[in-house]
Amino acid sequence: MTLAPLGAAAGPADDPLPAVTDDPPVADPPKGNPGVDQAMAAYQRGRQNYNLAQYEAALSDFQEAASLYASPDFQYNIGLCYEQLGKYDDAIRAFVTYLKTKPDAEDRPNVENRIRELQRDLERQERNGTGGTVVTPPPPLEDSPPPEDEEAPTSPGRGLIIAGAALAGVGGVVALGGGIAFGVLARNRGDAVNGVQFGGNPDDLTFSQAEALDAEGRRFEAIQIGMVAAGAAVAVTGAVLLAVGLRKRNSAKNPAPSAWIAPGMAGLALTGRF
Amino acid sequence: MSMSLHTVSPRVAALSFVGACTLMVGGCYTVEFDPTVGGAFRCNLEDEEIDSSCPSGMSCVNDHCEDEEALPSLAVLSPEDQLVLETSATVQGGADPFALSIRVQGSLTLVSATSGAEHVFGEGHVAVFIDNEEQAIIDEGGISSSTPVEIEITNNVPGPHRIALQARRNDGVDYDNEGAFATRLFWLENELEVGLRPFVAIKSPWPHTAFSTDDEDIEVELITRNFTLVPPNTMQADSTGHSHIYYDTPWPDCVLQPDGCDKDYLGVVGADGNRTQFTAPASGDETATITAVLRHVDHFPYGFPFECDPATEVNLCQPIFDEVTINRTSR
Repeated sequence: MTLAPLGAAAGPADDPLPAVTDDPPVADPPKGNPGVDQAMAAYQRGRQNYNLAQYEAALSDFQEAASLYASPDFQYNIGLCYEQLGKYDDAIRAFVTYLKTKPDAEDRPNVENRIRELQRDLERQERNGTGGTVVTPPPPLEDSPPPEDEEAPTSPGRGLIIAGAALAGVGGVVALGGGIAFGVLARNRGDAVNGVQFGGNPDDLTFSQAEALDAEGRRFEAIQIGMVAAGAAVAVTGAVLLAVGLRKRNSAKNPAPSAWIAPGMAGLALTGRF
Repeated sequence: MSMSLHTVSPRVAALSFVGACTLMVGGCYTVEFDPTVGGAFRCNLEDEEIDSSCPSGMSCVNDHCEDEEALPSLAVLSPEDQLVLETSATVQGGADPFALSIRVQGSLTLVSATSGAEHVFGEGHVAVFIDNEEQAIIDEGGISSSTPVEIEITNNVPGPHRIALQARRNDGVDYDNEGAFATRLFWLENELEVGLRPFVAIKSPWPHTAFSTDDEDIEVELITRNFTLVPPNTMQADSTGHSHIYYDTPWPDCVLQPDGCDKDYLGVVGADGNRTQFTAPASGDETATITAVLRHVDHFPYGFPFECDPATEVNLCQPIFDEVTINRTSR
């Protein structure tokens, strides 16, 4: 588990705290504001205390920082502190606040997963009648992937999935519908011309009329081929977008285990987070 | 020899499958349009707003475009044009039939007229007409080289006689291209009157030529025997004069009627060679006659013998004329 960075004040890439997400975006705080400076100072103290496992002190520091500067990331760090203190209810509340105030958080799936884990821990805690002072290590994220049907509407790749599916559908309709429709027209013209040439010309068509039918048939054939090709191209584009979107969503749902296995569970550094 | 396996990506394969299904369901245009297919395209439509012409190299035959190089054609090689043959018959008739040898050549694959075969362009038989009466059918052997045909002439009165050949399809319909019809005109003269009795013949139009029902300019070409066509004049001369052209006038009966026939002629041949043109009035779909009547240079009726009057000396003097029937049709 790692503390959330605070823009330019974020820690070095080799910070020993574990990372929750790969690279959450953080807004730069305004410079030169006394309140912000105080908030940064409180944040730095909180980091130090957190690294020293002084979670009560770290919690106080982060709360102070949050009262001086409204950054969602402070709520995230507050949540971490509550979690380490076994105050799962408060931790959940802090993480929910974090997600509400940062709708585009890239680590949303992981935070939501963490919230569910905390809710289970909270239930277990209530069943056992244990108090809120038991410190439990952060559960490994890979043990509890969030169910797919609870996917948040703003999940990564959603736009690509929608666009891809739409393009694939439109392309398919154009390719199949247009191709079949103009194919039928072309075949009808072909049958008519064949009827003139080899079927006794039942409609008594003249050469110019048959020639016009032939030209019309070839035009329909060209349109048919064009629509199939264009529709297929659109469908392929849609399929590619769909695949990319699905891959992005899946990777967000199931972060790479390598980033979370083993030492991460102990709260040691896995990747640069700050 | 080495072989290599081709691999197709699943995506390409899927697209190909979709494309193939589309083509199977929708179909496609697989026709090779061939303008040279004979008998396929309709032509000669009455609706003038529709272009019913045939493509290059094709001609309209029986309302369908056919290959120009495969059109049936006929020719009469003998008797030669305007050949004079002697007969013992008089203008009143009264002689035994005699055999006329005709030589025919053409391009038509002969098929028995009674075989009931379906129409195949270029196949059929040849009908032989003498004076507009069908006299024989040629439907055996071949006519690519000169082919003799013996015809018995029963109408052997002195005067002009006409031979016509008509190429006919297996189904009995006449081929209507120009070359499928051949004609020849010859004379019969009484052996006792050779060189004496004048004759006139309408060489054009040929009997049963079709003309429209509108006002129609018709060109008439005459040939004469023992008679010289000259411009109208005042001095009568033996075997000399001109011809009046009548349209739908009942010759020779009109000669005996009170008004005669003189007021109804529409053209004169002799003033300028052996041709003239007159305008036939509009009519319905019907037949009509064109009659050429020889006249003295002063327009009086010409009779034989010379200086007799056909209008008064009916039993002695015969008017000299020729008549053809034409068809007026709205098609």
